[in-house]
Amino acid sequence: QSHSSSSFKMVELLRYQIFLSYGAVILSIWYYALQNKPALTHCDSCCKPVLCYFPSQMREPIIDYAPLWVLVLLALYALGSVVIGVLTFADCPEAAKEVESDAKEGKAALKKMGMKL
Amino acid sequence: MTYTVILPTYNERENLPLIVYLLDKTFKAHNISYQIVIVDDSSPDKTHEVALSLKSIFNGSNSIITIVSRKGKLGLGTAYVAGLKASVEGSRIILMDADLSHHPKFIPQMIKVMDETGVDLVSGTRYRKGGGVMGWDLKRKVTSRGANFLASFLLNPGTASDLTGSFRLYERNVIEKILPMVQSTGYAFQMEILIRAKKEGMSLGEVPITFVDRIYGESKLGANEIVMYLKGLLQLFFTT
Repeated sequence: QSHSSSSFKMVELLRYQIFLSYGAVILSIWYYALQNKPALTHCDSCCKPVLCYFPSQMREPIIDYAPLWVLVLLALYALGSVVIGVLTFADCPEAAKEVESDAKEGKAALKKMGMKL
Repeated sequence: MTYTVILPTYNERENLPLIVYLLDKTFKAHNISYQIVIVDDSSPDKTHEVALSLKSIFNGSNSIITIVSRKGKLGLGTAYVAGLKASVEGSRIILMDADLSHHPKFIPQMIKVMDETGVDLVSGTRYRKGGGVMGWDLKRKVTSRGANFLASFLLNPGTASDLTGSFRLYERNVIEKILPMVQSTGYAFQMEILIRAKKEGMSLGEVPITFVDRIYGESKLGANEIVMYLKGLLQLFFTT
């Protein structure tokens, strides 16, 4: 058997494996955040973590329930997508009329060609 | 280049003559040699008789009408396979609905996209600008957008905007390679073709189409269809 020594085959992940990977990454970040809450929520030092932009009472709950906020944001994105999609949904009444007139034309032409309808 | 349109029919006695007439008119207007393969699942309304009449009228030097008759209602996937078997060697394949919800006038546009951009398949999309649907109420639109969002999110089909559309033009090698791989049924069937084609590295083009839903009063989207769709979606999620 000959092998192509210079090429390497990338392992393609299945869709659910990709989702599991993202899930693992998010959970790892969450775990790290839970273990380091004091460092992430204290805002007196000179280098301020992102959470300092939120009011102090909110900082800890954000870390504690982080995956929930991810799901909430995702749900909002989904909802927004569907709402926009429905609002921009194109109705095409002209197409329906066109089919009706084409059908009439077709019936007449086929009758002429000897078709029994 | 010959173009083969595969039309699976079940009780399409009324619509079949009209779609064949419009296909013939469109192809002749663009000087395209064509073949229509009618795959009939022993329709009780004698669609087969109608197909025979059409064959005698439209068979010609640049137009072939082929009829494949099957013993019973055997499903869309196998109908396409049977149609493919009966198709002229080397032709490009068009799959579409036989009930006049898809208008043949979009076929020359699809051919143009395929010739100009060299894509492996062209999908008729209802969701891009220029496309649309007639005959859908709010509930149906919400279901459709929701289903498309869910499928896109879970399966990441790339640039494809209409995953469950069934009006498409394929290079022959695409449909020959992908069709045997497909296991889903119903709406998920059309999705699976696109997803697998993308996985095989095939390129996709799109043409906005108008879809005229002519099923008067009959609800085409019951709870059963939705469940089957979700099942198909999950199956693709775990196997692709």
